Amino acid sequence: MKKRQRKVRLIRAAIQLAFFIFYPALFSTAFAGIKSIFQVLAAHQPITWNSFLDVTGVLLVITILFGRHFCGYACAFGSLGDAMYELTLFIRQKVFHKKGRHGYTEKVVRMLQKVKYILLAFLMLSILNGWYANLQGMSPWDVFSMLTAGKLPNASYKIGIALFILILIGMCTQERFFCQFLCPMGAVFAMMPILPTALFHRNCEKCPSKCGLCKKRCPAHLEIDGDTPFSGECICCHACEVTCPRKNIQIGPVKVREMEKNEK
Amino acid sequence: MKYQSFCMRVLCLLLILASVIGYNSMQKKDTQEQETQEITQLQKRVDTLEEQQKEMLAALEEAAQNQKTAKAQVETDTKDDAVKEGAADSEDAESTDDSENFYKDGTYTGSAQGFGGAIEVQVTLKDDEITDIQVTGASGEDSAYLSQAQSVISSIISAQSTDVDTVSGATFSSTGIINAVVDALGKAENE
Repeated sequence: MKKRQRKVRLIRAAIQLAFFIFYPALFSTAFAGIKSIFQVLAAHQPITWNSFLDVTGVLLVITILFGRHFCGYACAFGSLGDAMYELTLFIRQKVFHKKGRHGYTEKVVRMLQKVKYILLAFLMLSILNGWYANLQGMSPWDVFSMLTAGKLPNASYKIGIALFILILIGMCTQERFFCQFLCPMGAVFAMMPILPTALFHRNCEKCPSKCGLCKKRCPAHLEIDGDTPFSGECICCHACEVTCPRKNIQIGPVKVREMEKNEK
Repeated sequence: MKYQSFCMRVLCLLLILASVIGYNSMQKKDTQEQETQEITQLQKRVDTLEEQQKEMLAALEEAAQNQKTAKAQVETDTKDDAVKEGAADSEDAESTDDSENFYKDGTYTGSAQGFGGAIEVQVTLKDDEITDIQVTGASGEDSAYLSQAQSVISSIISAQSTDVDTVSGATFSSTGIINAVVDALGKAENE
């Protein structure tokens, strides 16, 4: 069991590292596409396709067809969050000898998850109003993309740097802190109609009544099959699937899989 | 209702797409209306100008006939000369603009710092006019940002100046292209 968990974790970390090195700007490019639509709207011009929207469109279609695997595996900022959280876990274990995965309670997580929608609405409204230009130098994403491009942000990015450091600290306190609570692109992804066949499903009949390991392990505290069709918060990290001791959780409808087994 | 949430989301997405398409068609209509308005205005102006021209021609013919009948050829000759001279003067004024070349003709390369490295451009000049700009190297730039920033090239060529707005969303790359063009123009200056 532990072996399987470790194997899946290593594979995921390798994919995340590869995307971090080769495509560190995908998430901000995708968001630049969303922003470009609103900039055109603010300028009262017809909306035209551009190279940012190429990335946005591809990521949204992938998300609709296969779930938010981009968030869980490819997004450089999400990977950074995972790295920060795992690092704190490691330090907690080695230095303070504390076991288990720390984080906020379910109630707090559920509340904070709404913040990103407010942030998205605020950013889009500010673009429409035209005072988005005043926010220049405040984006923690700009600071991050400068760092990944091997450039040090200059003094005009003071607020951006401060926010970036605050986010880094937040990332240590809760798994996927930024993605769940603040990411405006995550808000867009969470609103997408993800195909029901791409969602995680749980064979609840086989579950013992007092288990709940999957919900405990889930970074978003989702109840698989209970919340997943409604919330859009699942970032397809596959942690629940690996954690379940009875292998009850899989992507796609349970019934089909059972029929496959019967055929075998 | 297991798929209620999914259906609602699909509906919302379709609504957003429909509103985008609707917005675009409204914009198209608006611009078309504006264009037709402009065309009618221009046609009106052309009509009035044509009328004026006809009037002037008629007046000229009358004048010529008057002159013939008056048989005062010496005086009319001097008048015609005056008119011709005036025309020659205005031609001279137009041609003085490009008599002095500030830049040498040819193709020049320039480079400047973009987002993740140097951007190299090739600027083609002819008769002090920027005829072509090519980005020859931008290894440090993200492709989506670079192709977005390329739109600054057309604005430089149409404005014939490097004092143009940067592309929002691709500020660093477009500033890099502008500065590279400035660099290339600096090399092309006549000493």
